[in-house]
Amino acid sequence: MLFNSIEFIFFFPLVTLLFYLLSQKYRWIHLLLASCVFYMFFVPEYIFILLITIIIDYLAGIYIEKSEGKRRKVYLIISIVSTCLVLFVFKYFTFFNENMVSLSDYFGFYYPKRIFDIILPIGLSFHTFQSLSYVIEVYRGKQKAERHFGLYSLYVMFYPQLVTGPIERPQSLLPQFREFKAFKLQNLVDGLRLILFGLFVKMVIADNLAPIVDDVYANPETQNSGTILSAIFFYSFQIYCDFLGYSTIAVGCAKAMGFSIMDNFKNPYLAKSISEFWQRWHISLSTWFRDYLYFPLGGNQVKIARWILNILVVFIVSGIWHGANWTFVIWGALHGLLYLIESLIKKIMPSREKSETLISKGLKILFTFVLVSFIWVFFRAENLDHALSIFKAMISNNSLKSNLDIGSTIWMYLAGFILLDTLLFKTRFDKWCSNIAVPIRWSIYGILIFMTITSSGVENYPFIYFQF
Amino acid sequence: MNLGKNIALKVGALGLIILASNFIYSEWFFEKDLQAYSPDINTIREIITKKAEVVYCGESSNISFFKDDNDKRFISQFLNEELPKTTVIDFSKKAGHAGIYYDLLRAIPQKNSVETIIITMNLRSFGPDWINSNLETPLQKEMVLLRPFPPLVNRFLLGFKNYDTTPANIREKRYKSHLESDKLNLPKDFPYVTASEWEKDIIKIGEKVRKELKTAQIRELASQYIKSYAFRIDPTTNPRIKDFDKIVDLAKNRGWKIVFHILPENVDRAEQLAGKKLVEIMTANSKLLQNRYLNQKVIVVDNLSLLQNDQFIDQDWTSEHYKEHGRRLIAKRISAALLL
Repeated sequence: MLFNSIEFIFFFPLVTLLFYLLSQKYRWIHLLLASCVFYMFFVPEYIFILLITIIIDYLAGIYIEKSEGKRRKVYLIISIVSTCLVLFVFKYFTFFNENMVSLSDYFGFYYPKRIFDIILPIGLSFHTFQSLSYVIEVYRGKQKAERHFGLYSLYVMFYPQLVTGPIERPQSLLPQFREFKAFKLQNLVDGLRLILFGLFVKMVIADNLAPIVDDVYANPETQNSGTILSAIFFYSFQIYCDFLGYSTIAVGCAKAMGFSIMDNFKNPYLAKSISEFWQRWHISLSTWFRDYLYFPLGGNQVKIARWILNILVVFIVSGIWHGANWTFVIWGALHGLLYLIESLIKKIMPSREKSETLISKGLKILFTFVLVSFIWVFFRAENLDHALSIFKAMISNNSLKSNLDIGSTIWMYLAGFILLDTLLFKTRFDKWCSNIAVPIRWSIYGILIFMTITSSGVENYPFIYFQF
Repeated sequence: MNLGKNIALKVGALGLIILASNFIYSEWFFEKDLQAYSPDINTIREIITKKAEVVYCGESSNISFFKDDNDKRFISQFLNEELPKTTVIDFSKKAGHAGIYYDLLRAIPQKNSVETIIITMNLRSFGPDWINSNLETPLQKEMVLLRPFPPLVNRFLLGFKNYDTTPANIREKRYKSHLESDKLNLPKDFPYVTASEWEKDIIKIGEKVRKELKTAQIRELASQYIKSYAFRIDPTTNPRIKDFDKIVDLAKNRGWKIVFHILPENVDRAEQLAGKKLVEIMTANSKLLQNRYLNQKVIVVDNLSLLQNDQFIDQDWTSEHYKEHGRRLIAKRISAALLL
């Protein structure tokens, strides 16, 4: 089920209302059933794939806790390999196969081309990572193995964050299912505020930018440099608003029932460097990679060459996590390289943040945004040739007359969003609303409701991160 | 303030926002959206302003013409020539079908001069190919703002994608699944149980199946004929039947006379490429439709075999695009049925 669908407009109040009406004993059953319904709106049979990973990691958690010595590690490896195998089969098999065919052609060995015509289950990478997070935490002894199969299933399947996160840690989410959540009007109000804000940024900003970006990326050779550059920047906002919208709605849905789930974004385009960008963008994923890949590889407590390798591995794996395409590998690798260059510069020329002027801060923010935007081209392009054709057209088409009319409304929406995003620096929409006068607050609600209904994009653009 | 009062106040304020939004949207923004997303509103307005008595609903069959035609007018325009005392207005939507026509007809205001509704029955539109077409999304999207709700509600439904947004890959999967599992119900001596088995054999060993299928291009065309026409209409599950039933109910409700006319298909070519069995299936489907709607007191004009191969514009694909003579003939048959 999509958050921006009519079904969800009925689903959310019904699930929330029933949650509060039911006694604590039955709430987990209710939430689990609701989560199943939510997931089965996409491709119903894929619930069984989810069930497989749930069973594997549920059992693995118990066996890891029961065992000692090497056996713990064996169970952990079995769990990780089998969970990743599901991910590999559905997400990476075709990519692997295509590359093997190309290699066999190049080196002249025989490799049969296998066609695996399958639809990628929605959000597979997200719930796989949430599952992995659990077994690793149990292995590390930081989380007790969950004996209650229903509660563990709910941890993986909790509908607000099931398909595109935030990827929650078991220590944070699992205990909340055991707590009694009494009805508090403030939770409901905060939840609704976040849902409204999430719908606004997704439906008004992201979905109105999407058709322009699509047009330019479909035929870059027919657009002039200015339009292409605009589309590159538009995509930065499209993907941000799309993902921010979803994550905010997810946090809002959970909040309405009294659950706290982590914020995935903290004004990433106000970052002054690539390293800061990664502290602000898709936080639940970047911290996942930090805790479960970067630290185990040795983090920065190793020799410099190994540290460089660690950084590159983490960023490249993060790229592959997003999708089975070389464009994602390049996207990750470029971020890794920039991160390394930036670290090197910081070592040579340590910054004096306290004495920084507003102008130098602004220039740093702008520079980081431009860099990130150009790297997004690889993320958005269908393949490497496509990405290069975008850059080529951007450089060479400066005298071409563009056939795409970017209306002034789009710029207005964008300016409005940038202003709002800046106002929300170091805060969140629900908290920000609490601190403003009632008439202004309700005027803001009115404007957001009116715009979400009457200015939303009409083309169907599913949330970008659904494909991951 | 107690909880109940607090909630009631908030709900009340929200209600006011919605009412004010509806007023502002209806007054200043709705018309622009209608023109952008539902331009058929103009045809509906034309029906009212021109006091049209006949509304003709058709897909591209109505508006397609051959480059060498002397007269390139639509079927509906030829029909108007046959019925000079009446005004015929057409809804012509590429890839349109009964579901879309129902939405358009429902949007005609209660107060109107319409007496007769003529709707094409395109056999292919009952098949899995058309039902699972990707054109369904844009077609349905255009209908949302015409729904019988307040403007703000319609815009809300449009923004929240309250139309069929099934992704292309899922549609393709459903289509293939129909081809592979829907039984053709042909006699046991016929070697194929499903359309998929049939068309795959045509592609693989075409010449052994029929001597005419010498080139890959011809085999591809034969396969297309099978995929387009080799299905049995199940009145209990076929969505088009439900749509036509809804149109019948709507027409009864509005006091309109209805004519369903079964479009000519290239039966000659179907027989030549795939054999008599395919034509048998087409004819059986056509008869099923006739019987069903004649029983509901609808005028059904059966034009399935009306035209010969030379009157079909597209010779390398399945379509219902006719040359001038064909279009005139269809118009004559409809007007004759109307005047009976």
